[in-house]
Amino acid sequence: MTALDAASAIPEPGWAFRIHTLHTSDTCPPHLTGTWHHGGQQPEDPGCALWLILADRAGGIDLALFADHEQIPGAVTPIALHTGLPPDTWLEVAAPVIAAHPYVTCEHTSALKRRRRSDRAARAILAYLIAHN
Amino acid sequence: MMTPLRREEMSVAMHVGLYEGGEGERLHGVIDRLDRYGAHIWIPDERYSTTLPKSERGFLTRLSYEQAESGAMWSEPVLPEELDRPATGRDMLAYWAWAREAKTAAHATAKAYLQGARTVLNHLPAGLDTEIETLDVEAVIAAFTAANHGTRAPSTIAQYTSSFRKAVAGFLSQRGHEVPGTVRRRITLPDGREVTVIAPAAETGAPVGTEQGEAP
Repeated sequence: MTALDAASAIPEPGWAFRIHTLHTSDTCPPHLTGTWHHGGQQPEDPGCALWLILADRAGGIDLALFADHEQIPGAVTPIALHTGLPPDTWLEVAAPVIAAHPYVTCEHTSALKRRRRSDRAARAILAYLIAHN
Repeated sequence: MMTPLRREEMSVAMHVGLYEGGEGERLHGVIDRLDRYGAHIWIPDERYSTTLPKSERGFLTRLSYEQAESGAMWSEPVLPEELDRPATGRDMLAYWAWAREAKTAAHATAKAYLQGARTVLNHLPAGLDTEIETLDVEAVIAAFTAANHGTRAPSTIAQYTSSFRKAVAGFLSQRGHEVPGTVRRRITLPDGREVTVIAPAAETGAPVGTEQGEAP
C-alpha cells in the first residue's frame, strides 16, 4: 500500500492510482492509501475500485476520477474531472467526491474521538479499580 | 472546501449539501433520519413521481458518518438561488436528457424531443437561455416554420416542431404548470390513494384548463 498526498511526486502519464482508503483529519491535510498501476493493468484483487489519474501540467494539476463498472469488467464510469488545480490543494478539492464513493474506505481522525477513546479507557480503569477493591 | 459535518452536529430536518456516491453529483437535501451508522437524506427532486404533489417528490440516499466526516456532506442551510430562477431551454433539455437516462420516458421519444427542442430553441435570439414558462410556443413554431421554409423539407420541419411542442408540454406538466389543451383529473386508485392525472381535453370533452373530480 502506497501513501499519496498533495506533496507526493506525480508519475509519468499512464499510471493510475487505485484508491483504497481516504484518510482525513481535523488538523492535517487529507491523504490517500492505495496502489499504483500502469496502463490499465488490473490488480489481483477482483473487487471494484475508484481510480485516480493525475497529470502535472503548466497550468496546474489535472485530475480525473473513474469507478470500475459493477457489471462489466474493464469498463469504468467517469466520476469527476478537474483541471488546473493548485498543486498543494488538489486532494482537498477531490476529497469530498472520493469520500462519497462507496468503493472507498474513509478514515477520519477527529480530536473529539481521541478524547472519547481516552474517556473510555479512563472509565474502564476506574471500573476495574472499583471492582477489585 | 466546505466544512465536513460531524455526527454530533447533525440533526433531523437539517439542510445539507452532499456528493452522491454513484456518479459524484452534487446534491442538496434534508436529513430525514439518523441511525447508528449514518444519515438518511431526503433529496427533493420534482422530476420523480410526477403524480405526487411537488413537495413529496424526491428520493432517499444514505451516507455513513465516516463519509460525512471525510468531507462528503456539509451544512448548506439554503437552496442555491439558481434553483429558484425561471426555467430556461437548458433546463428543459437537461430534464429530457435525465428522463432518457432514468427511463421515465421512452429512449426514442426523449431523443426526438431533445433534437426538436434544441433545433427550434437555437433558432430563437436567446437560444437555449430562452425562458420556457412564458414562451408562446405556437408563435415560436410559426416563426421557425417560416424561417426554414425552402431550406428544410416540410416533413422535417413538422417533425421538429411537433417534438418541440410535446417537449415543452411535458416539461411544463412535470413542473406543475397548466398545459394548453389538457385538463387535470383527480382519480382514486384501487388502494384508496388519490392522484391527479393530466389528460388531453379532447379525450374528456371538458373545457380546456379546468380541473375535474373523479369520473363515475
